[in-house]
Amino acid sequence: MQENLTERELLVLQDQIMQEMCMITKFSNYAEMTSDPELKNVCRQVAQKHQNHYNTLIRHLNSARAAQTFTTTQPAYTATQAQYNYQF
Amino acid sequence: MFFQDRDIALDCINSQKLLNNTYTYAVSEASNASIRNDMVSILNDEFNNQYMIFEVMNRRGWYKPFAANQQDLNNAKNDVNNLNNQMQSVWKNMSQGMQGISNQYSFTQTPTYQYGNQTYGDRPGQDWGGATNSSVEKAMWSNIGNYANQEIGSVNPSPSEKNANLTGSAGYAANQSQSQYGASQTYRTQNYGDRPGQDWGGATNSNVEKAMWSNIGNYANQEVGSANPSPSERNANLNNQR
Repeated sequence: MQENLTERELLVLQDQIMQEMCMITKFSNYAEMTSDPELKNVCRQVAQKHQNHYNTLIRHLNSARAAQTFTTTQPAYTATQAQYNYQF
Repeated sequence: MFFQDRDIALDCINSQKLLNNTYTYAVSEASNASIRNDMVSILNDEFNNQYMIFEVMNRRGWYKPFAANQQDLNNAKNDVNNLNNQMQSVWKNMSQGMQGISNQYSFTQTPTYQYGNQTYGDRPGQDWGGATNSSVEKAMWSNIGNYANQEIGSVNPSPSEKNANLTGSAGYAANQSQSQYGASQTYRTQNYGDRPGQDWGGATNSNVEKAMWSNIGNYANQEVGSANPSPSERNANLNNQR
């Protein structure tokens, strides 16, 4: 399914993809670097989580198209009843 | 470059915290439902990641936040509880006003009416000059008719009727604490919650109303010339302003 994307969503999506990319690299490297087994384990798990997030975000970006004109019909401004009553 | 385990964990948790923030922003800005759902579940994951790292650090003794100062804690508790007590009574009055069940004459529920550039309370009477012969004021009278009927019993009550109604209602003047008048204590600039004169039943001999007179005395002096103007003085002033 194609998703309509607003400009801001696009920017946010791009940002998050870049950050997840960085996080995957970082946590994978830390998992190798550390000698603490528990920390190593946590780093691996977190890296895997980030990998999943990264895939999700990429999938959204690829299935997106530009949003159709994003407007809602705004009711014309009308004076409130009180204003109407007291216009002399 | 050599990282100790502690530095690694510290960088992990800090970058994880930053990522939480950016995902919060991403959720707030998402208008597409499916993207938003995914962002929310990712955010939840990130919180869990951060907590996992925190647990490791906590077990190693790498994460030592300062304990709250006991004195500061006590002060904060006192402040919040005092404020809470005050707000409870405020909120109680608000919901009563909105339900309109009790305190029929409480100012909080009183709608205001616009006349020229002035906003008035909805109780008719002397402060509109008492004149019902101009077309403007006739229109206003008919508009507030319904409400005035509820409140006072007739659209243009005689002073004695109005006094009977006002003094007869438990909620009106005697029960209002002075602080409740605080917000609407401007005289002649609108809001007329606290207008002197006929709308209080003309009675200036109750302690409550005397206290209110003295509170608005300064302003009334500027505007009307004396803190307790006679009806004719007041009408003269109102007419000047119109």
